[in-house]
Amino acid sequence: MNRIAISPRHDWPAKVEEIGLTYHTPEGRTYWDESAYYQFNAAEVDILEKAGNDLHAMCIQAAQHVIDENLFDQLGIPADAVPFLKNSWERDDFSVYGRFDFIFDGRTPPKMLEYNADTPTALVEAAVAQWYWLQDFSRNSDQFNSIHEKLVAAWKQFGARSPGKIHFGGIKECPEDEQTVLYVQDTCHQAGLATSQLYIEDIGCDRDQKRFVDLENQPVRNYFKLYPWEWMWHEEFSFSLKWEACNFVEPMWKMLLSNKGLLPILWKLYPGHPNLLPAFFSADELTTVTGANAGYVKKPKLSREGANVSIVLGSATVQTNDGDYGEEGFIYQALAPLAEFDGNHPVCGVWIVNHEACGLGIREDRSLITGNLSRFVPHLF
Amino acid sequence: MKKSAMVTLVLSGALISGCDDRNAYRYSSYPGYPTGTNVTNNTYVSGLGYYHAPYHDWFPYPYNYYRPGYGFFHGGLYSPAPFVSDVAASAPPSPAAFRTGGGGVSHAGSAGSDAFGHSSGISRGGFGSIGHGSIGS
Repeated sequence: MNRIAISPRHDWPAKVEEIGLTYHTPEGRTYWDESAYYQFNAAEVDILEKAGNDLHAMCIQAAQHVIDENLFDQLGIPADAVPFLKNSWERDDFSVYGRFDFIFDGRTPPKMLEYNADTPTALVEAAVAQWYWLQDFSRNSDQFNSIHEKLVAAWKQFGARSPGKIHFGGIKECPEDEQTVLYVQDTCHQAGLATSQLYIEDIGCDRDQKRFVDLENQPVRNYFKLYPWEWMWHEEFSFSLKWEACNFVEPMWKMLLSNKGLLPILWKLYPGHPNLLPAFFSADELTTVTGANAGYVKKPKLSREGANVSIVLGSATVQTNDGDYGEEGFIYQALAPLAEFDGNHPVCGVWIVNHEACGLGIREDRSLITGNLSRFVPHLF
Repeated sequence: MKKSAMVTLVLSGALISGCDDRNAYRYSSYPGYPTGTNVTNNTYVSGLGYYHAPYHDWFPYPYNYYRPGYGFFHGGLYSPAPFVSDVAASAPPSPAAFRTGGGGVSHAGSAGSDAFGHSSGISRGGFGSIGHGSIGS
């Protein structure tokens, strides 16, 4: 695994905008960064692929453990949601995608930082933009990236199970989210399913019929949401989720996998696993295992883009990100071994589509905490 | 090979190619479409309808249009009283909404056939209220 500096394509902004990556330079800061790429060998890609597949299976087992042992409170999942989450699990409601974040340097096993299993983003970059970049830069090279065709195939399966139109939506006035939703809708459209757009704010709640409706008051039976379950359960319409009148993608059971409270449970079930970092629900438990000076990362059970994440060394907090998260509590994860390339710290996002690892997107930062302004850098092998 | 054989975009590709002003691009085929990012409430554009600024979308009837027996039309529904909002202008719908029928005159829908009172059981805005900004994770 190497980081190689190159000259960007002279017309790269137009190139990436043409394929939907309109948010390449938010607030004047580089986000899509093709001034470098990461080069892997086939064995390294195989390692990442296996880690993704193994950990997805382990997360499924850990979710079953949460259900069997009734650990929902430990994960901060609202009691109201539990029966319906269990129903979703028992029905095996269809899951389309998710993304693991790994620390990986090509020399030591990938270490799981978290599983973005409910509302993963950076999808247009990983599935489309870096694929088109490769066509221009090194057409004959390979890339760990069959995300697009796997998404199309997944929607075909979804359509066989859940007939009818699928509505797609996220929040309004957020270009990155809109483009992500539009791209996922595109893959569904290419699978031959009927689609339509409906912002999450525009979902109608029909109390008489106990169903959701669109802006034409027609039933919404299938809805792809780029919007977290934990927020929906705290909003005015949360009562209507109990009607179970709509197939949501991602399904409700993904609340278990997207919760960082799963990290201590994974460590409890699979202690010492090469792809896991020690993780606990208290700092004391962690430092008992790792030593008082080993350092750790304090993470909210529910958070996004590195918000409210702190790095602690000894008794000192050496880095922290602001944010609005942490109400449900925190978990404590051992510091990952440092992956550094020319002063950049890459995080390898391995995409899971329909329960199968099928792609890689790399975000890097000079900070130790990957945030919403970390840069996306393409890769090849 | 571990890469997709082909990545084809049908809905999301070439959406704004060579154009910085997304609205101007999307609506350039509609004569009389106003310039600027925001559109004033109740602006009428042939082919799109009336713009309801609080709802960021186009509808077949004017904002708070009164229809006897139904009520006041706003955002695709009728209500017994005119809708009051401080939003005098706003940005029109996203490319996704426009291209897939979420916006524009398609909102005629059942609002016109929904008898006053029948739509009272439908409310909106109960999701999407948590202000954390972009969802990215």
